[in-house]
Amino acid sequence: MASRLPPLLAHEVEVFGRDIIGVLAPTVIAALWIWALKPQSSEIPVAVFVAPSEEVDQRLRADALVRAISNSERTGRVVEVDDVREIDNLMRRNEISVGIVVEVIRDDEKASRSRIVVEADGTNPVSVLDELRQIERGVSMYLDSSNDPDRRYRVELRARYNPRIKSAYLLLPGLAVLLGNWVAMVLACVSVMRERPRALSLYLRSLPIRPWERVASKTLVASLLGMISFFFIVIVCGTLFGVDVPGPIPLVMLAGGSSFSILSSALIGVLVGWRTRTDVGSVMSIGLLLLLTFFLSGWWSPTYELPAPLQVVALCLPVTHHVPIAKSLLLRGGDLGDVASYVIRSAVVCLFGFVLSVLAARRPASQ
Amino acid sequence: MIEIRGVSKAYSGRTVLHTTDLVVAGGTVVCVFGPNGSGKSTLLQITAGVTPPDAGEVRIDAVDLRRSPHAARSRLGFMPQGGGLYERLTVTRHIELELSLRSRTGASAKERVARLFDGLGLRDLVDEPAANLSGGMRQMLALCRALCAWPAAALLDEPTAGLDGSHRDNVWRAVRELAEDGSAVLVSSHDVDDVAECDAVVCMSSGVVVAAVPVEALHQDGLGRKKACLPRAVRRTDAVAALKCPSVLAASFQGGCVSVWVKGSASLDAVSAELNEHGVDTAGIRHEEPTLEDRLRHVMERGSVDPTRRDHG
Repeated sequence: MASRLPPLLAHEVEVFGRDIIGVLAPTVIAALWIWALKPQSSEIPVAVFVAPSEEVDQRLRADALVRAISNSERTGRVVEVDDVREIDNLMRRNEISVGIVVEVIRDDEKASRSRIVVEADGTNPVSVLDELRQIERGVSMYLDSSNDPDRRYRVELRARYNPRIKSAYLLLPGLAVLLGNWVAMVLACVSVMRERPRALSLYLRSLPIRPWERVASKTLVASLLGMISFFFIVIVCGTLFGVDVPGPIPLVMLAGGSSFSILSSALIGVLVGWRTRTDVGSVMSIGLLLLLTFFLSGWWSPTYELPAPLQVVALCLPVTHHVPIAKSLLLRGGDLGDVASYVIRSAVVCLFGFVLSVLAARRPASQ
Repeated sequence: MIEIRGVSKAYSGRTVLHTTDLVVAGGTVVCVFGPNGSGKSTLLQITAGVTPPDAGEVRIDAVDLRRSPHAARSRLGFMPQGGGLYERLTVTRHIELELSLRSRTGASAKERVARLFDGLGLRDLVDEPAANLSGGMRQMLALCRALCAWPAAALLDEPTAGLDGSHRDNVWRAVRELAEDGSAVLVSSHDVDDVAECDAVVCMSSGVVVAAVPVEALHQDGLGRKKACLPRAVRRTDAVAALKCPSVLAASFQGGCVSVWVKGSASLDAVSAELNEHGVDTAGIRHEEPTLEDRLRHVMERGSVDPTRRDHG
């Protein structure tokens, strides 16, 4: 008797062929990721503060030192600041990853030596150690090349906000943000998929429900569950893993900032549910989006390390704007001013998603 | 009142509903009758506002469905083919959801729901999830949901499909009660028994309304021909032989014997003689009253009605 496997396999290929985008998703993601790993534009923004002193070697000033320290090709935008506190502000706003402080320490009346303090943002899981190692190499090379026997240097390397490089600090914002947004996105999509049987979808469309009411009913509950998941992770990290989570006011600000992002993710889930025709298509598309948010949201490596086109894709993801909010408020002690720009961006993404969802609600392709 | 004016629909270039006009007045039950694929469901879905027409307009209770979809939909109750139930929702929750979405709450709504529950046999199942109901009771629940909000227009897509006799009676009792309260009811069916329960029938074939007549007129229609039964002609070949007779318009083999349609002017004796000549046994030949199915088939074959009788009510 002839095997029935070939026709069964042919059937499977045919079924998957109807959801070709979803089937190709893992390959596309893998290709994007390989591309993203290649450091095409991974230029680290750096701020430098040179303490006012006549004894500071002019050669140490700003650009030359910074380029040497950061192995030149990885050094991006250089900001020279007049106040050492500005380095902290820039880092809290996620605008720099490395800060360099050059100052003169007078040990006694005759001798003095230069101190170079290099600080890296300790909340980026991948880049912080890498950056510190590179900086250390760069400083050594600089000192070797300066060839000045009279000058004595002391180099200090620090990881700001996470001095002991605790993994819990590195993972907290990313885990909380990803989980919260994923829960909202998946649940919103599932709530649409649940109503996909033809008769039920016909009945629902005959009801006197306005498109925005449909969108709101599908997204608000999913968003609420996403928010609960988000704060659950924050609380678990605070209680079980000893992460210093700030008090209620930053947390309230965090809730405000997070709500736009999580609502946007729920809107994306609803859009996927309405624009895909089959359950397989929905699952594949949601899987693609989850992978995109995982790799491109900047939770473990800053988005400026991505190739430029992927940075554009990342900008469209609500999670990308949520990560800096969570990092700044949870780990760096930032305030509303530090996260305002990200909250506004989240709100814009949310508004855009809402308009698209309302348009899709008028005539879902899946129904 | 339901007004359908110049509505048509095509999918991928294939016209499934040709330009259609229909008016169902309040207090009237109209049946859209036709075989599978004749466009009945498409017509109901367009009327319910779930499928946009390519052309034409639909008004529910004088409200334009395209211009004011929300207002128009709030005036109708729709039962899609297959019911469209939430599997894990109980009978009561289905009805509560429908009533709240249509802003029908209060004592009168509760009283009406109680009557529907009793009339449709759902009283003992109110706490059961839809998944636990039999096919027939699921139909009943879907019908109850479509009627409970007391809509000005009810659109019921094959509400009696797969139901036994007693459940069918319950369905028609509930539909009649709604119509008596002044609602316009449009029902689709391919079952002749359903037509008999309605005030008028709209016959459809291949997306075209081929006839629209009051059911009463259908009963009184002389048809212009007569039906005779040949109880002794028990072979299919007898039907073929009968067709060779000049007086015989049509012959069919049904229920184990041959029936023939003959011209209205032909006498039974003359027909009998012709049939005998062609070797058909005519012993016991007798007139037979055309059934509703015969009449419907005839109307659909004739394919034309007095245009003034297209609107009902």
